[in-house]
Amino acid sequence: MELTILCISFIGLLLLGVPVAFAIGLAAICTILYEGLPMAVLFQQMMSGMNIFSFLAIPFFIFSGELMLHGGIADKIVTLARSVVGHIRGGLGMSNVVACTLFGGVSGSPVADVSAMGSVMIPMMKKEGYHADYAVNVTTHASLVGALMPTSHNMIIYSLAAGGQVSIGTLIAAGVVPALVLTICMLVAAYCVAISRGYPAGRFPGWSAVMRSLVAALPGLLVIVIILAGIVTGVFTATESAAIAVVYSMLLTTFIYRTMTRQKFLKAAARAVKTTGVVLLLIGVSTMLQYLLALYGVADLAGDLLSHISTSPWAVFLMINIILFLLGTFMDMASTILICTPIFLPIAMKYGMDPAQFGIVMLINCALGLNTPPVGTTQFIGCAIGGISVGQVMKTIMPFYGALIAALLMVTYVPAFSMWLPNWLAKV
Amino acid sequence: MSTNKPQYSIFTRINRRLARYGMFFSVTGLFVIIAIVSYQVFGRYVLNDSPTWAENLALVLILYVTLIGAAVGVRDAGHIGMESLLILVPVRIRHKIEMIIHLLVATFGAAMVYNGYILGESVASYQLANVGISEAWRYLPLVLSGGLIILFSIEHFIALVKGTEVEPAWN
Repeated sequence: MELTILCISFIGLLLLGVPVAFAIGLAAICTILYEGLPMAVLFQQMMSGMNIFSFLAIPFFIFSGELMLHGGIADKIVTLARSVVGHIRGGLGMSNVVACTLFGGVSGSPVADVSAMGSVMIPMMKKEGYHADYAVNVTTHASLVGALMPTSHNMIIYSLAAGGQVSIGTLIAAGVVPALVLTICMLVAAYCVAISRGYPAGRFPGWSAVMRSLVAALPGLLVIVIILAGIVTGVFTATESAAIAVVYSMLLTTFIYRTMTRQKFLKAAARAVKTTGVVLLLIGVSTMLQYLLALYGVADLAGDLLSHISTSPWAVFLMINIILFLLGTFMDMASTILICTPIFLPIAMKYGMDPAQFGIVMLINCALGLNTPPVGTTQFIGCAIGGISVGQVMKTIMPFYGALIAALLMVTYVPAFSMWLPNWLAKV
Repeated sequence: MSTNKPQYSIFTRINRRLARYGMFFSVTGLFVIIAIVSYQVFGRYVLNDSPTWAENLALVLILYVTLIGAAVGVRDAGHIGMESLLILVPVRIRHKIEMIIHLLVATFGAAMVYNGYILGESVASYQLANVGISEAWRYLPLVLSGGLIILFSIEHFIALVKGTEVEPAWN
């Protein structure tokens, strides 16, 4: 009965339009009041869930991404990408994929990625004769790779939701190869569509131009190295690496690129605080939900339910993927991760999936959801920049969607994609 | 050319000011936390003396940054929610539903205030390790944030009754 109250009140509040964090909190309160337990237990859980040192990495990653977004690194990355792959058929589409991947590595956020790259690349592509739907689809899909990058705050959220079953270092290492797989899939999709539509090839600017653009973009890209190297080598914790990334981003955009003004800086800080408040409150109240889910053994119930349908790991992983994808289309990334991890991680582990691999599968599913209505945040931003409707973009989305699903299936069914690098690093 | 400043009620003026101060406080808090964690790294590798207070102080401060930032998010309607179903209903009903949503959010704010007070009071005599302040400081942001959430939700409710909108205090 308690579980029914929890589920019905949560879903009812969500459908009513109550923000996710408050819907979780109110549903948990209804349930605990029915149980006759003191409400303070829930708030104690909430505050404990927010009192973890690695939790601090989230606002730092968000702030570092905002600084890079407002600090003018986007232009340098686009120049670099154009000089490297712009001469291939459909060069601007290919450049867009590479630029989104590089900026995704710097910002760790698909939303920041599509805002920064989209505002530069989409108008540029339209101006050079590319169709708006192609420009938007390439940008919104390629930007999703940001969720798998070492700077991704969603990785920290997953690590927290997994309750210490996977270290942030392992998860970051696990994301590197899938990020490359996703990028390659996107490059193939962008290339095939460019061929079929007869988009032209650009001109190779020469190796000296490539080197010049690389030197200009390199200081910005170093932030990925700082975080990856710092965490993987164990020199810094994830939180310390993220704090150093913030300080580095501030110094870089202020003194080297000289693009950061006081106004931009305050805007970046204010946006970071706003996102931090929203995301971290969600994490806090999700601890309430996780407490109740554990109390009622929801993971076991869900596992039993799935095993009634099939006991084959292939089928179970497919079902989990479908459920995660469907939830991801309705909910924000952080909400999906926080609600689904305690339920589906134990099931995935029972069928032999490593928690780090499951984290990457979860992130790709959530990323797919970001590009699917009704709550397709990156798609909405891309369409707004491209001046095109979601319906028009959806008509030609299949090659790009197919590429993402191919990447998702590879990461789901071939553990080596996610686990090779962390396993290799553990041996070194 | 004359610029007409919008006329706000006293309640709105107070809330605008609270939201702005809350935002400045949270931004400053974020900078302080970054400085503390950076100093921790500096202390460990350069001074060879890792400050023991740094981690615990940063953990207390992040509660203030987060919870006050989240409260300001309520005023700015920045919280993540599913609005797609609301779009389907007529405007008049949508307004009624939005009023209910703000009342529900205010209820959660009230629960934050009440339970934050209960929890804070229960641990007030204990000291936070390495920081030397009462444990109650960890629960104070819950009370402050809950209070702000109540005020901001009521402001949204009143705006809906009047047929106006709450203007964000910061961008």
